[in-house]
Amino acid sequence: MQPPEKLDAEKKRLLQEVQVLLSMVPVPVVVTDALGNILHANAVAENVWKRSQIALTNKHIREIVEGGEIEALIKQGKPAHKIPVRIKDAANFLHMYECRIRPLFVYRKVAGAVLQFTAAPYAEHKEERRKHPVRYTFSDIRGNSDIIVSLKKQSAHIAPTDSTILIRGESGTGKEVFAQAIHATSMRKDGPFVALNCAAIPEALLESELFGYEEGSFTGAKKGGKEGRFELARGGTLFLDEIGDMPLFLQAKLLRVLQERRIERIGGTDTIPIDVRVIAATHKNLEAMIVDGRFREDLYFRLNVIPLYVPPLRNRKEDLYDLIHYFMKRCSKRLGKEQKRLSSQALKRLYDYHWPGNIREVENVVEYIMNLEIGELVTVTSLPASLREIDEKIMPKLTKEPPVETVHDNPREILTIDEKETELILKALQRFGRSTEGKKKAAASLGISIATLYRRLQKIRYEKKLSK
Amino acid sequence: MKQTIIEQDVSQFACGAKYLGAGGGGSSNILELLTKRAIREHGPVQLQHPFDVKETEWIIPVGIMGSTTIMNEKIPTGWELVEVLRAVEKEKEIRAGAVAGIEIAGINVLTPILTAALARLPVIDCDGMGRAFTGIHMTTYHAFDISLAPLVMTDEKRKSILIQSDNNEEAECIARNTVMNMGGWAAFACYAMKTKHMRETSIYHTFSLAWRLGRGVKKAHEDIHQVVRVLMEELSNSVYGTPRLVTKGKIVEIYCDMKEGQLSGSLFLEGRGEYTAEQWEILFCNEYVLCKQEENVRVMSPDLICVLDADTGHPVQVEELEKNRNVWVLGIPSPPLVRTSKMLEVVGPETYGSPFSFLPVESLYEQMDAKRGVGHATAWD
Repeated sequence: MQPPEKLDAEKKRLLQEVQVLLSMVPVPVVVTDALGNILHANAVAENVWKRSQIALTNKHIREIVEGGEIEALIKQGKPAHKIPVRIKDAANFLHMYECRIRPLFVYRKVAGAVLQFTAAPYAEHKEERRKHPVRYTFSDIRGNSDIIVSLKKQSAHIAPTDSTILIRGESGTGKEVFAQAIHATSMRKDGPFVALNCAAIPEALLESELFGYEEGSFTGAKKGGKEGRFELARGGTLFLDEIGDMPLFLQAKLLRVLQERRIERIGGTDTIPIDVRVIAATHKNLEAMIVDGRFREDLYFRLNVIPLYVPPLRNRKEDLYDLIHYFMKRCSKRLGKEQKRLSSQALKRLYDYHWPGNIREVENVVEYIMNLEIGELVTVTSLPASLREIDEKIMPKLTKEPPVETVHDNPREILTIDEKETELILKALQRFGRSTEGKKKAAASLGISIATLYRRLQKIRYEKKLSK
Repeated sequence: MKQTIIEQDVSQFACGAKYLGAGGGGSSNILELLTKRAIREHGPVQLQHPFDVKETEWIIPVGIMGSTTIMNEKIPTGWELVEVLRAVEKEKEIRAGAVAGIEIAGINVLTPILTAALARLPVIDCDGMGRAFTGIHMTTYHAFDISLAPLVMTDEKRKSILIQSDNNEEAECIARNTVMNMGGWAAFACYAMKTKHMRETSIYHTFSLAWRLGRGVKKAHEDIHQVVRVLMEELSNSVYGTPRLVTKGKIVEIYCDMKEGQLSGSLFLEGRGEYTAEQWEILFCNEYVLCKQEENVRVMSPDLICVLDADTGHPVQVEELEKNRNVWVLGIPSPPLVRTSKMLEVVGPETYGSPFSFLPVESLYEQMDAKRGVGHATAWD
């Protein structure tokens, strides 16, 4: 048994050791007892908060720190990290921190805690990121088919570079998801991700949205001017969605900006250097548009530095099952309903469908099923009309078995040429989809022009209206 | 997706399936070697999507039940599995177009592959449990009204038994008693069904997932952090969902008993590191079935409780539990089909005598996070 003097000396030595260690930590550190009373603060805490050791010691932690359940965590002996807190220093200046708590135990009882305060991410950056957040990363891109795994790998490989990317793919395949995931993995991930849909904004406004304008440059211009998307994306990524819909004159201006890396606001005289990575996306056939003169070839080559092609869902049907269940899980949680099971026929119908709307359409179909199917088993009748074999409202006769021709057959059971034509048109649309592209393919397969198809469809709708 | 199984893939399937076993399923190097040899001699095995098989085909799930310890001594040849397959075909006057899995855990990830290699049939990328459960009636096949019978069992001496019953639970009970009388293990085939029924009642892509898990874990080189990262990535991108790190701790006590041929009991964990002062109890019955912190349940069957060795990242099966072992515990959401009300009647926590009704691990943690209001420190941050 050691003599009391020796124990006392040992205790003093240990205490000094801890004090020295804490003084060497470059961020504010505070030690409290189990009730939250401050026992010790390091030198950095004193300097930054402009409060002396005497001023800090024996104060309760709640008198110094605002926010979070700091007091409760200390009492419970719970470790935690990244708790956002605020500390007002002696000059009433507010410091934003992220607090990390490590409890102290003696004989398995809570004896206190050590609190470490690290600076919160720069407010300005945080504010920019809050305005232009990224929602998706590569882990949000679902699927294990070879084609999507390969694309994810390729995208992750090129993400850290600063090269311009052109993402191609049908509508609803997830082009923006890929763009966001690439940004989130890039060197620019701390910067903003600014998106602009070139098809959604009227032509007249597109230029001012993209490049910004100076005050007074046109009637209605905001006082002080407005930053364009290039400026808003400073240090980050600018995503130009539906680049195929950009008017020709703007394509020329965009090309110049991509070459010179400088912009001029509308009505401005200064050239502003830009620091963005550009990712463009389109579902259109740019090569055909170049031939037609609707897209600039020089811009195409400037954008197409790294082309990525997002496959349509029909090319990766093996991912369909996982996608359906993923959306079903999400939907069941949102709607508070139990997940459904799919019958063999319903599954077959889902697998055979060509999915012109791709992932977006899957999500819609699942939401339809979850809302409309009351039971636990989803059958074909619970599927949306686009997935059932024949739309019964338009062609009720076709739901019956085709008649076997005999001498006793009623001649009225045999379809007229017009009815047969309508049947073929509807089947072609069922197969290729009702989008513009789908109608083009349907017309091609029927051997008629697109104009003829539109005229026939108008006639069918007119006749259907008359028959009601 | 994995489409062809070659010899080199077998270890990856065996490795990955252990993580899906929730502590059960067994393991057998001998079965691994038999499967590799069968592929080497008879050629690669096709792994088919349920929609790549014709609707009119018959599919017969196969497996091995009983004690893997005894099986490792009374070594099978693999042909027992083909025999039971042929016996079911004969009984039903059908021809199998493919084989499928009963459970995607332990040895029964390899039994369909071995059977397929020997019988020159494809394996369907699906199973009936999504993990390991104790009884062969604890499957989605049974929950959705597929008849277990005819069930044929064969031991290493080629002694066969045919069980016919309209009641699946009764058939399972007879099978469980029979396997003891047969010397401790038996190959079996059951739940013969047409493709369309398999499509409706099975859990898809589990074999592919087991392979991906095994491949990823092997690359992790026994680094627990990398192993957990692999599990997080692969399971999040599957029908299971994102796992939760429940706790890290040391096993301080184990209570274990053999009841009706099942290893039952509980283990007690003391939290370590950021989980210091936490007390955990995990109940098991051949597999881990309930995990609770004091009186608060955190994970319950049919969700998967995965106990990992903290030094190597290897999954710790129930029969490998030992005191003073440092472990990490993960809670993995079970596939949606396993969480349906019909399936919960067979595999829910009440089945194991627990007073709790099933709550998914995601909901349990959401409730916990909502109460605390702050982010809980996670292991790999």
